Amino acid sequence: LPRPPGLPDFTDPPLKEVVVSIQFATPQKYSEAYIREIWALFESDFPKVQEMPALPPTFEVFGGPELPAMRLNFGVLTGALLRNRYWFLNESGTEVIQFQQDRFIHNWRKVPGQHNEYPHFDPIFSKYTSELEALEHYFHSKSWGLIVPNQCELTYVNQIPLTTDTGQPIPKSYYFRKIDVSLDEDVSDFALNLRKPITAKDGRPVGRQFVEAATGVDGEGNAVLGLNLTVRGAPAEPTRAAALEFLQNARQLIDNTFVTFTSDAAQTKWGRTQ
Amino acid sequence: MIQPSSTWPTAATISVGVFSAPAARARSADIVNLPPPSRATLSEPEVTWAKAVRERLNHICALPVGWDGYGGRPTRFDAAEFAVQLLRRVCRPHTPAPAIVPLPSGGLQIEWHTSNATIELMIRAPYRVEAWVADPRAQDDGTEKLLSTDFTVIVPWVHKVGETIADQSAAQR
Repeated sequence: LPRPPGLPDFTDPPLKEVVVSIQFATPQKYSEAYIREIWALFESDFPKVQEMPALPPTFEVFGGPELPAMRLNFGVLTGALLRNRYWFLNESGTEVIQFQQDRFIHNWRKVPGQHNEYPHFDPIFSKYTSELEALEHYFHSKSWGLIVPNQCELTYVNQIPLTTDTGQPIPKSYYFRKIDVSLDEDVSDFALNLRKPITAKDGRPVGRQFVEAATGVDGEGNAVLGLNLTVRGAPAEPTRAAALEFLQNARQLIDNTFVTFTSDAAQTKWGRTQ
Repeated sequence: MIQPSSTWPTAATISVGVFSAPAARARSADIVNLPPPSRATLSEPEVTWAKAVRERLNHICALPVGWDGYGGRPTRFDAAEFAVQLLRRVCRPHTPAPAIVPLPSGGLQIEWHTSNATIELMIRAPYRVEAWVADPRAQDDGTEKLLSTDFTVIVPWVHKVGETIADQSAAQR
């Protein structure tokens, strides 16, 4: 897939993980018994498998102010309704396909010790497009109909060091363009969550963009700044093509948001080339 | 269980994280989370309809196939979850709990009935909602809307019904 013109680009972005996901209506005839056949579709590149708890369905809905979250006890009362989620991992563990009855996800992640460089979005998305097509062909071969997407989600997980290579602390606001979290320069930790509606061309809200920034530690215990960017929403129509189009638009939104939020100095540090 | 509203989406991330994760965010075992601060606050709003709605949705999702005697299917998991998200956006904390009726197709219908208004929200599938409001005393057929993501138009309907029921309850006391 060609890279859209005009998007910012970096030689060394602080990306830790990219998640491309579609949620779809569970085929009526789906059974967990088919999971071996589904794994077989991808097994040559993803030879390892793990079972995980299923993710609950998510939807972006608009109306009045949102009340506190409420979780249903489906797992307790109707265990068969929400089945397992499966991870199909490549040999190095840097890429994972996640499948459950209503989700199809491709993760790329940086793995300590692997020195795997971020391949950029387009190769990841190209793989996902092919994998989704293979899944839809499988659905068709089972007479389950086409994949009916109802939600799309793209997430970029960034982890940014808060100390220099020599161990000197980096001010927490250094990485932000407009947000000053220093206050009296003695703030030890902070967390910031922003949500913004995204709209279709006709002005109708179709999803949300999420920006989350917080201090924390990485897997080695080093102080880091986490910056997660997510776009999630409903495709224009419940088709594979419309879902992929949503994800491509989400990528542009995330790329542009990243450069809007982060400082010029930080972008220079990450090797911005355009 | 009512939980504080989380602004962060239910993620499918798998790498080491730096954020305190809600239960639904499944990740790999090497997560490094920052614990949220302990709170003893009392200001979290109590959502009075939540328990009844949760129990009813759990019930209709667990119905056996043929529950209506004609091959009706239990309510779909995604339709029930969508209903919860919809209610969180159109109700107030003390809105009376609606009646919830399963549809044979696997969808569900949410209903409020008062002396001066009837509201029906037929959820055929996520983002496929037929909304209808009518005044039982009026001669017209009421107002019908096909809705997908945006339910702003029905917020005042639901608030009005809630106020009517609250007024009726106060009058009876």
